[in-house]
Amino acid sequence: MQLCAFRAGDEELVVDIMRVQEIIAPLPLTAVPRSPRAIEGVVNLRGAIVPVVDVRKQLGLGEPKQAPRPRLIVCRVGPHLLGLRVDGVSTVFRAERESLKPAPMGQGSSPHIIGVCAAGGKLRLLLDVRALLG
Amino acid sequence: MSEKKPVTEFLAEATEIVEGLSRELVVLDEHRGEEPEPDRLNSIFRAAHSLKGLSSLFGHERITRLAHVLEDALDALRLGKVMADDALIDAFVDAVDALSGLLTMASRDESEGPAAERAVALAQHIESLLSQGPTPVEDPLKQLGLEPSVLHVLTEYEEHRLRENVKKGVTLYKVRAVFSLDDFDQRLTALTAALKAIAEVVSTLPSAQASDESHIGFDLLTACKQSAAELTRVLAPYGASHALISASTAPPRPRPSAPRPELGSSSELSLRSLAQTVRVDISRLDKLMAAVGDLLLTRSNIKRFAEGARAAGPGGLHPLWAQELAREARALERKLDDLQKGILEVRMVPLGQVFDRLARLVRRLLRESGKEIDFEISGGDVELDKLIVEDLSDPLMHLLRNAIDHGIETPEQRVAAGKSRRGRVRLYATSEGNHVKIEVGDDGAGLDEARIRDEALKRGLVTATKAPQMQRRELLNLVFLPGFSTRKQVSELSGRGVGLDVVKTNLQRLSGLIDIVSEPGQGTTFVLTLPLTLAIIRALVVQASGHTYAVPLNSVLEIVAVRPSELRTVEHRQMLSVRGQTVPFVRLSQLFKLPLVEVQQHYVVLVGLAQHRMGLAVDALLGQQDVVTKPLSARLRDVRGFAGATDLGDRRAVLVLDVPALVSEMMRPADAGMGNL
Repeated sequence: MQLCAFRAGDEELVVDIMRVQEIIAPLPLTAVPRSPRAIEGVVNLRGAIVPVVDVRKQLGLGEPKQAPRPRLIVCRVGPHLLGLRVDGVSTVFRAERESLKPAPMGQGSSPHIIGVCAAGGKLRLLLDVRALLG
Repeated sequence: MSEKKPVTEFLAEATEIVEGLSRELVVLDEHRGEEPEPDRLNSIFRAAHSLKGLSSLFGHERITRLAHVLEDALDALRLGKVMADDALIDAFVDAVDALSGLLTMASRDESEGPAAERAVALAQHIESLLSQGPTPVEDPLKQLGLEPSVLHVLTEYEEHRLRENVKKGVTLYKVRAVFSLDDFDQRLTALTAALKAIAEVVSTLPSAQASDESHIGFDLLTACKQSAAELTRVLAPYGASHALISASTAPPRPRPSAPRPELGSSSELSLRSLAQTVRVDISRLDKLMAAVGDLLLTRSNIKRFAEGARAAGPGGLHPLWAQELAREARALERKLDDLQKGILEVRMVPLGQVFDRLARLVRRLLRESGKEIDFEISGGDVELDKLIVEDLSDPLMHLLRNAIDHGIETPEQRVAAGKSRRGRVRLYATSEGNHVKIEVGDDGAGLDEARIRDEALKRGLVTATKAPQMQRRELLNLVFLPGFSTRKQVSELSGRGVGLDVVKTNLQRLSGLIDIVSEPGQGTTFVLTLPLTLAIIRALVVQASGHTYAVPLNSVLEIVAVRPSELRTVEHRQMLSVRGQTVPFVRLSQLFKLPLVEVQQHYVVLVGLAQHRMGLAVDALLGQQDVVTKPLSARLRDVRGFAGATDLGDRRAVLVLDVPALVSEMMRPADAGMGNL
């Protein structure tokens, strides 16, 4: 399968490329009062209203040490779109299914991480886009 | 999917026929006791006939059977074999109701239910009415002296029409016309049309007495109330002559031996009229509308570029090009406006669609209620968005039931109160700019303030200290609270466990307002105000704490400027006085927990929802714009207060406020204490 790797804070994460519709520079954001904390707001993507999740906030990660190059990863789950605000997109790579392991349980585990990818000599967290969509 | 399609096609067509039937029956019903117009009977007969054919094609046996009985009954009626008495017309009205019921069942794919049983019972009932036998009278046709050979070729219906005309003393003529074989069909059609303007053409018989091979002659048996001179005038352009047929004169030489020509059968005619409309799924119109919404944005972008290009001066675009661009942008704007208006018009349907159904129901309720009530209906031609019209039938039905059941007193009570025995129930619609106003009123006893107060106290909807201070208007509005009913015993007609709160909820969904006008002894009127459409809405663009929001204009009553010092605080709540009415006041920034900005004056957008009013204060008004609201995503469905988001042309998402939700949020604490309206 193909994975898209990105940074949030100082963490490297991956999403399944099949979920990704496009990667764009951040669009002007409209805050939605009363929305869940992790939702940064909505953007207008060519007429479609897309909610944006700040991955760093959602996973409780700190500010990045490396200068961020913010991107919006627009993901599709069924008919719904969800924008992931990330601190930079690093690479797209092919990984064997065997390199994916279930997420470690216990302290610090997040309901939005479904696995760990151990390809290319790095450990990256696999993000569950469906769970983020709620 | 492909299997499903014929079913929806069937339902759409059958529903159209039944609605047509219903419309005609309403007229028939209104003219009870008079002799039905032959054209009307024919059209009802044809509708029943089409429905029979259609339903048997799709295997809906119950509908076929009921339509068949209806067709038989109508045939007997138009042939004068039975009388259009009350029993029969009532049965027709019930039958159309039952057919609607059967269609609903078919749409839900149900095969058993009360509607099915009712249909079977009704079919038997109508048959028994038909078998009660005709009333034979002496046949006036015999006195006509028409030759047996003529009588022989007339259809049963034509004989009947001749008979009726003789009975009424209308003069009968035989009109003779000879036409060239080349264009006889057009000429005959034209002649028939001309004759119909002043007379009834009972039968058209081809004549063998044409002068030569290239011509054909016709005898038209015509019943004419106008003078012979008038008839001559009408016939002159066609070179046709006329001869008197009457009981006294000698029979004209009839000569019909050729078979009667096919002049188009009735079923063909009805098929053609149905084919003139195109049925479109409303969701397709929604898609078109969304596309137009996007185009409107492109338009405003182009407009901005054009203005920018002109302003840029010598350094920018060539001035001629800038001018061209501006002109094209204006042309685009005009065309888009037309397109938008066009799509909105397509969505519009006359309220008559729902009024006809209601009229049928009301007539049944009137029969069952035992009260003496005149029902007045007007404004069926007022048009509204199809989706709104559909959602109106339940609330209106409820209000009408209320008026008949609770509003109007018994004849005895009315006489005792010095009123006329007969009560009046009205259903009026009027068009008022961007809104439609519908009134459901009665001239009954009016709402009983004391009883509403008692009931509200008993149910704990208001406190004992509060109740005596409430004004009539506030008290009346209590009837919209869930579970409120002043009726002591449950009635068969309207006691179905739903109250006016359901009416209110339905109207809220349509961004509608409801008001009560009620005077003791004079009656009660519910006034519903509805927007014309929900597809593209006009929105007020406002700003609060630096954020931009769109407020649908159909829920905005007015805008007032208020200085902070003009606000009053009542029970920890800020209130605003607008022309003597006290309205709760809240800043949008407070509602959304945004940092408050100090202001010299508030712009207060007075919004209304059903009977509630609220003043929503914003920091600035930015203007008005047409917007297409797009839903917020599933991730945000639990966030209350927003109907969706839209794009005002700057490529940002702007949130559209859900005024009903915000108002009911404001009112919820008030429901318990009932302090505010």
